[in-house]
Parts: sequence; structure tokens; C-alpha cells
Amino acid sequence: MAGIGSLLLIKPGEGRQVSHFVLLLICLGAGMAIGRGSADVLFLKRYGIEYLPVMYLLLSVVLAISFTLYAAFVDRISSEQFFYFLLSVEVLVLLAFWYAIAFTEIRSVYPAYYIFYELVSELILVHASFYISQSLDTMQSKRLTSLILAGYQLGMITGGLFFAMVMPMIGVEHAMTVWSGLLLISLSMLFSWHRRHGVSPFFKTPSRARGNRVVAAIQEVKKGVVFVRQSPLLMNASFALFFMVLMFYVLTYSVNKIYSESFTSEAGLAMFFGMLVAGTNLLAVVLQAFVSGRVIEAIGVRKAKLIYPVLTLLSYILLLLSPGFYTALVASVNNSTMMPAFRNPSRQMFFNVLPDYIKGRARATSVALVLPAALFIGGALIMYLQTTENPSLIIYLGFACAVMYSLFCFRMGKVYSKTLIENLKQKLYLPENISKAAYRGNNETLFSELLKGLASEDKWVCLSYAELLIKSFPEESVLPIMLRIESAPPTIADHLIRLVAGAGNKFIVSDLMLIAEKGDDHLKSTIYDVVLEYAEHDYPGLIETCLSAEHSRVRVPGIKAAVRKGHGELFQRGMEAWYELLHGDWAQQMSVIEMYPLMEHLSETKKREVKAVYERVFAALLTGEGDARRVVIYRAISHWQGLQSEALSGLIINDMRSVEPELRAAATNCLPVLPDEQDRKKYIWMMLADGHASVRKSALSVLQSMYQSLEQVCLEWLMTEAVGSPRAQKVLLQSLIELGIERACLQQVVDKKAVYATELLAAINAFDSGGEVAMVMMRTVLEERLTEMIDLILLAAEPMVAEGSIAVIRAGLSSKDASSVADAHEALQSIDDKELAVLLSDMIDRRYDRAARRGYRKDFADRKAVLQWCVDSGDAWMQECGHYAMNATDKGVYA
Amino acid sequence: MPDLFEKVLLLKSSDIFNEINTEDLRFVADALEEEQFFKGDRIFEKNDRGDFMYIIINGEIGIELDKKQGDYVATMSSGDCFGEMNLLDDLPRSASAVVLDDTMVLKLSRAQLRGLIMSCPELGLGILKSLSLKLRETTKRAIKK
Repeated sequence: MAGIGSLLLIKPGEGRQVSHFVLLLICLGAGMAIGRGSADVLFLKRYGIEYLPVMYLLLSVVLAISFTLYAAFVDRISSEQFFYFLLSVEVLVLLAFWYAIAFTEIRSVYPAYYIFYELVSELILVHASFYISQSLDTMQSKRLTSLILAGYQLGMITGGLFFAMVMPMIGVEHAMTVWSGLLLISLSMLFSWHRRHGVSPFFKTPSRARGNRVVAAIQEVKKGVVFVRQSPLLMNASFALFFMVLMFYVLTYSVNKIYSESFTSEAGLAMFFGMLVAGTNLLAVVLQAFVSGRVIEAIGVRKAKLIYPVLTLLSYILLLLSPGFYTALVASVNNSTMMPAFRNPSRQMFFNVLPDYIKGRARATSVALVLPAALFIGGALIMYLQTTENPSLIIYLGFACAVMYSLFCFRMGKVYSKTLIENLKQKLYLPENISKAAYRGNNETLFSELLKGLASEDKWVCLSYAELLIKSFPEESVLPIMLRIESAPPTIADHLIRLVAGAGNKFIVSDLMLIAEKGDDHLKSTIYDVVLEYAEHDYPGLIETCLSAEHSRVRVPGIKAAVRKGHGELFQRGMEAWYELLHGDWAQQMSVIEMYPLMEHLSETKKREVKAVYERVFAALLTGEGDARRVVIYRAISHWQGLQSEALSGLIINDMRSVEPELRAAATNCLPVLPDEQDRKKYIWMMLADGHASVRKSALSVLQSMYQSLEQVCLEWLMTEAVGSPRAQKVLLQSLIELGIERACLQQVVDKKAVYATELLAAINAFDSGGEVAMVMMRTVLEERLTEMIDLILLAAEPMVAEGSIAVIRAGLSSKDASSVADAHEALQSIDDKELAVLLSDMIDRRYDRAARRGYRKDFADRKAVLQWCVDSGDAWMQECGHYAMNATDKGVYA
Repeated sequence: MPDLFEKVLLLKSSDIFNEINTEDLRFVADALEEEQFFKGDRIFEKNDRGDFMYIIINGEIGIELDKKQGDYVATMSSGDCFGEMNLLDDLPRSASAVVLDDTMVLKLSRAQLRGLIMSCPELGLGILKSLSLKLRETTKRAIKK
């Protein structure tokens, strides 16, 4: 089971939750398949295909109103409560439909049932996604959403098969009872799950609504329209969606007409529709799992976007040439499989270039405006064309829509590049989640825009554009980059050479050698290094040339290449040259400080010998150099694995106290050099608490390099090691949260820190207000530590409660404003973990209200005991303050 | 002369540093320099460029807008801090500071403060927070009026 879990990316402890979602979606999906089949069969056979366009007209109005209302009210109650409401109403309405269809002669019930199905199929799927998102954190969502949603398709397949096999026997008019049954099972699953596990963990208690919520939802749509008008990408996407909806419904009408004529009996049509739903869903699942991703990756998102429209265009051509059952079947299969397989993922990728605040509003506009408008116009046009003498005009209409859809998809591709460039130009928003496929095959405008970026004098801009250029245009990018290398300053040229060489293009080597001939020693050194690494055999004399060069930097590539050989005369010469530089002046020594990778080519004896020399060289270089060079030296030292040196330890410790954060960070990276493990731990704690984020990051990476599992060591340190400063603990905790630690572990951290916080509270109680400096200082520090500890507990609790609520509490508490603190206190009540809420409330009361502290537990006999507790703690600053206060007490100043 | 911890507490009681943890304030305390002024000295004049902030250890300082004898808009004593805003906004002094009684101060230069913020950005964040809270309070008071 554990193996299957890990294959499906399910972490221990998540199995039950995932099973709940999957089973729920299977039930809902199966119900939907039965609903789909029954709505179509009953409408087509008992009411008449000729009324389908009227249904489209009505449906457009119903969808626009329903989704506006849904958007306005969905977050007023928790998502499961909304589900209870939605499913209960659905069951009641379905039973009413069943009664009306099975036992009465009311004809208007069939169109009503058709509209009802179309509406709930959209609502249930949208709400199911929302419900899942309220129960998973971001990390879980990324891992599990596609697996969970696969349950829906599995349900559709099962439901389709059931409908095909069973419904023709018992009668389609009874399908609502089966569907209701499935909904009741879903309801009971939801109910029993939430009775045991409480409200969805990421449900936010709604704030008091300001103004009319429906008006606010309409405002969002209006803002979306403004964005659509401003963005050519969105404008084309909206037109594409408009024509796609028209094309889709015209096709649905056309094929349904053929099916209803092909199957004379209701049972036959039911069996066919059931099999069609099951088959197309099965095919869609297979395509999504094994084909879509690979095809999009291979041909790029712009071309992949055209697959569905072009295939639909072909379907229409087939229908025009030979309108019949099999061509209709091809069109249906295309519609139901190619859309989820290619159209949906590529559209998602297109939208990824837009910032989130535009994306959400653009979607609102699509659902509430574009989709209903297209449906309405589609219905009206089909109705009109039904009155003409040539019914195939409807297929021509669909064909025309397919042409327009393809055209707008093509235009979307063109403006997509422009949008991407605009974003790159502005440097406001660099999309991170665009796949390689999104870059591939983009047009000349993008290429020339990237060339402009490559020419930038700013190192960061130039290198970023160079990287994009190589990724998007692997072959065409070589020449411009080579030209740029010739004109670029050394620091940029160095990086460009390595970038272009790293792309694995061997043809560039001869061009690089030509550049080296004209370049200075710096450029020569970099180019020779790259050439000897990638194409040594093409330049047999190059190692000799390098080794005999005057400039030490040019000799280095030769040394590297010679030593890499590991034996022979050339190896000896390489070693000699290496030693010569190591014993040379500082410039020569600096040129060989980053030679650690060569160690793997040396014998054990040689390794020890070289290591000893380096230890001396590093110590000597560090003694005499300025801050910038020391940083370079520390970087080189940090690459030396297994180097432990007393001589270097003092220098490293000293530089960890430098005012220069870059130097502190560089020295911190060398902490593994300290021979004593206790020292290493002590200084890692110290640097984790540094006032500069880059230093804290270095300390964390050292911790990671020293231990196999960062998750394990962070947790261990937080739980069992001597308690370091809160800032250091916060760094560990944040990295644990980023690593996606399980809730149970976070709960352990919360419990552990809560115990410590109560000790701090008891310690504070030992001090009165006012008093002498040492005591005021001690109380101030203890109060600060308590505040930080409460903040740490809240941080640990954050992933366990509704998104955003802890942030509100933390901000409120740190505001020092009485009403904000009170609000934070109030917000604490929304935490599901009532035990934690009570504990934190109590702690906050006592932290901010002196009167509430009176009579609190007295863990300490007297003030001296508190001071001793501070001195014994693992928190360096508390220790220092404790010593200071103790000395003052011993001197009798504060007796 | 105050020791490190006394300096930290003095800083902690100032408007500009009160949101910074004592652990970080010790770096600021290390950078403070002591200076003695005598009754009648003028520490700075209105419209001077403000390069230092001061914390009074003992003594008394008067703040005047015009050079009128004894017309002080504020008087400051032990633990009070003045001149701190000039370290951040670079504007000229908005008032003059006159020594009313022999005074010992701790001073911090703009260059030192900026260096400290570069070295430990948490200090900068703390100062921003103090200023933000102060601004919030002022706004609240203005709304009440």
C-alpha cells in the first residue's frame, strides 16, 4: 500500500482524505454520466431535437444568472455546507422530475430536466474543485488535484457503462432515481467525513459583507471586460472562446439530430449514449495521461492549441461531405476527447503569462459573459436556420465558427509572444511556470526582442535574456551570443561563454578559439578552460600552450586538463605547475584556489599532500586580504569537502562577526571546516539568528550539507536541541513548512513551543514592573521572547488552519494597537483546533494584560531561579542577559 | 558611562527603535558615541544639516523654533531622544537644540545607522514598523479631531 501511495504522490496520513475525495467524485461523476444520458435521450426522443436551440437560449440566461449568484454567495458558508445545500436541493428536484416524468403526462418537464442537467453539471464540477481547494494546502493541491479529479472521469466511465447496460432495461425515465441515489451516497459521505473531521481546513470565516455581493460579483466581471479590452491576448482568447462555444453547440445539435434519427427506439439511443460517455471519457483519460503532455512538449503550446480547432474543422468537413452516423460519431469523439486532452491544458498555459489578478477576472468574464452570450447567439442562429429550406446550412454555420475559432487561436499564438515580450520588457512579472514548450517555436518578434535584451549592459538582464534565447532558439542563438561575447565586458563574457558551451553545441569551439586569439588573458583563460573540457582532442597542443603560458590564469586550464589525465608525463607537469602557483605570490595563489574538483583525480597520498598545502595557502590568503577577496576565498574553501582545520577555524569565526553580511554569509558557508561538532552546531544556531537573510540562508544550507535530511534535522533541532533564539527557530520552522512537513509534526512543534512559552510566562511573572536596569532588561528580553514564541507557534499552526486567518492574527498581535490585538484575539476563535485556540488566547491575555498574569503558575522559586534558567537556556542572548543580571545581583546592587 | 545593556534599554525606549528587539539593538548600542555638552551650548541650529541623533543620558535640552530667550517648544531630559528623523529623511533640522543644564548624550551618525541597516536589515524593518505605527496613531488622532 505504501508503494502505491508513494507512486501516486500520497504522503503518509493523507490516504483517507484522498480516498474520501476520489470516492466522492466517482459518485458525482457516475451521477453526471447518468444525468447526461437521460437528459439527452428523454429530450431528443420525447420532446424533439427541433427545440434544442430554444434550450440553448434559455440555458444562456440560466447560466449567466446562476454563476453570478454562485460567485456572490459561494464563500458565505463552508464549501461542504454549500455542497449539502446543493446536493439536497438537487435530490429533491430530481425526485420531483422523476415523479413528473414517470407518472404524469406533462411535456414541459423534459426541457426543464434538460436545462436542469446542463446547469447542475457545470455547478457541481465547479463547486467540487472549490471544495477540494478548501481542504488541501498549496503543496497538497499540486500533488493531488489531478489524481482526485481523475476520480470524476472514472465515475463518468462507470456511470456511462451502467447507463448503457441497465437503463434500457428498467427505462430511462427512472434514471433520476439512480442519480438521486448516487447523490444521497455523496451526501452521506460528505456528512460523515465532516462530522469526524470538522470544517474544511482552509475555509475562511467570511468577513461582514460590505455592499451588495451580487453587485460586487458583477463589478468583477466588468473589471474583467476592461482587462479584455486592454490585452490583445485576452481579446483574442475571448473571441476564440465565443466561436468555440458556438462551434461546440452547433456540433452538438447536428450530431444529436443524426443520433436521434439513427436510433428509433429510446432504449437503443440510451445504450448508445451510455457507451459514448464511457468510451470518450476512457479515451480522454488515456490521452491526458500518456499523449497530451508529450505532444505539447514536442510541438510547443502554440501549435498544440491548434489541434482541437483543426480537428473540429475536419469533423465539420466530414459532416458536410457525408452527413451520417459514423461522421457524427467521429465528431462527437473529437469533441469529448480532444478538448480535455489538448484545448484545456494549452489554454491554461496561455493564461499563465498573465498575472493572477488579471487571470481570475478574465475567467469570471468568460463564464458569466462570453459563454452565455455565445450560447444565446448560437441558439438564435440555429433557430433561424431551422426555418430555412436547407438544413445543412447549420453545419455550414458550425464550419464557419470552426474557421473563426481556428483563426482566433492562431492570432492568440501571435499575440501570446507579444504579451510574453511585454512582460519581459517591463520586468514586472517573469512567469515561472511556463514550460519549455511555451517558448518553443515562437516567432521572429520574440527572437529580435530577446536579441535586444542580450545587448543590454546590465549583467543580470543580458544573462537572463541569453538564457531565454538559448532555451527558445537553441540553434539560432549561437551566432548572436558569440558576437556578444566579443563586445561584452569580462564578467558578462565569462558567463556567456559558459552558458553557450553548457548548451552542448560543439560547433562553437572553433569560433571561441578565434575570439581567444584576439582576447586578453582573462578571456583566453575562460575559453581555454571551456575548450579543454569539451573538445580537448581537437586541440592537442593546447594543454602545452597553457602550461607554458606566463600568466597564471592561462596556466590554470592547462593544469586542470593535465591533472584530469591522472598519470603520465603531462600529469606530472600539471602537478608541478600547480605546486608552483600554490607557492607563488598572492595573485598566483588566488588563481588556483578553486581547484577542488581536481582532487578526485589524485591518489590518497597526493590528496593529503595537496590538502595540507591548501590549508596553509587559505590561512595565509585570509590573513592579508580585504573583504571582497576574503569572500572569494571563503567560496573556494566551502567547496572543499572534508577539509577541517584549526588554523582556519579562528579566521572563520572572526569573519562570522563581520559587519559585512556578504562576508558573514561566505564565512558561514565554511562552518563544516570547524573540527569540533559542538562548535559547528553552536555557530549554526548563531548564524541562523543573524539579522541578514542571506546569512541565515547560508546557515540553513550548511545545516543541509552536514545532515542527510534537512526535514529531519530541522525537526530534531526544533524539538530536542537546546532552544536557540526564536529567529533561528523561525528559519528552521519556515524551511520545514516549505518542505511540506506533515501536520502531525507541526502539531508536535506547536505543543513543544507552547510548553516553552508557558515557562517564559512564569519567568516574566517573577519580575515586577520598574526596578533596576539589569532587571528591567531581563524582563524586557523575556517579554520579547514570549512575543516571538507566540508568533512562532502561530507560524507553526498556519498550515493547519484556514488560509490567511493566522496572518491576520499575527499582524494584529504585532500591531500593539489595542483594538487590533482584540481583533486578533477574536480571529483566534476561528481556529478549528479549539485546544490550540484556548491555549493561545490564554497566553495572549497574560502577555498583554498584567492583571491576567497575577496568580499564574509559579514554576520558579525566586528571581534567581529565573536568572539561572536563562543562563542555562540555549538562547545566547538570554544567556548573556541572564549573566549580566546575575552579576548585578551578586554585587548586591539589586539585592 | 552607561554599559551596553543600559544603552540598549535607552534605545528601546526611543520612538524610532522601540520596535526592534534588544538582541539586534546591541549592534546599535555598540555604535553609539558619548559626548558632553555644557549649559548654554547649542547642539545644532534650525536648518542645519542633521547628521546625528542623540539620546540624553543626563542633563536637560531645550528645543526652540526661534531664537527667543527661554521660548522652548519642548524640553528633554534623561532617556529622551531627539534628532532621529533627520537620520532618515535628510531634511534640514526643523528646530534648534540648546543645552539647559550640563548634559551627557549618546549620539549616532547617519552613516553609522545606514551601515548598520545594510548589515542587519532587521533593524531597518524595525524602524519602518515604528514609523508606521506612529503614522497610524497620528492618522487616528487626526480623524478623531
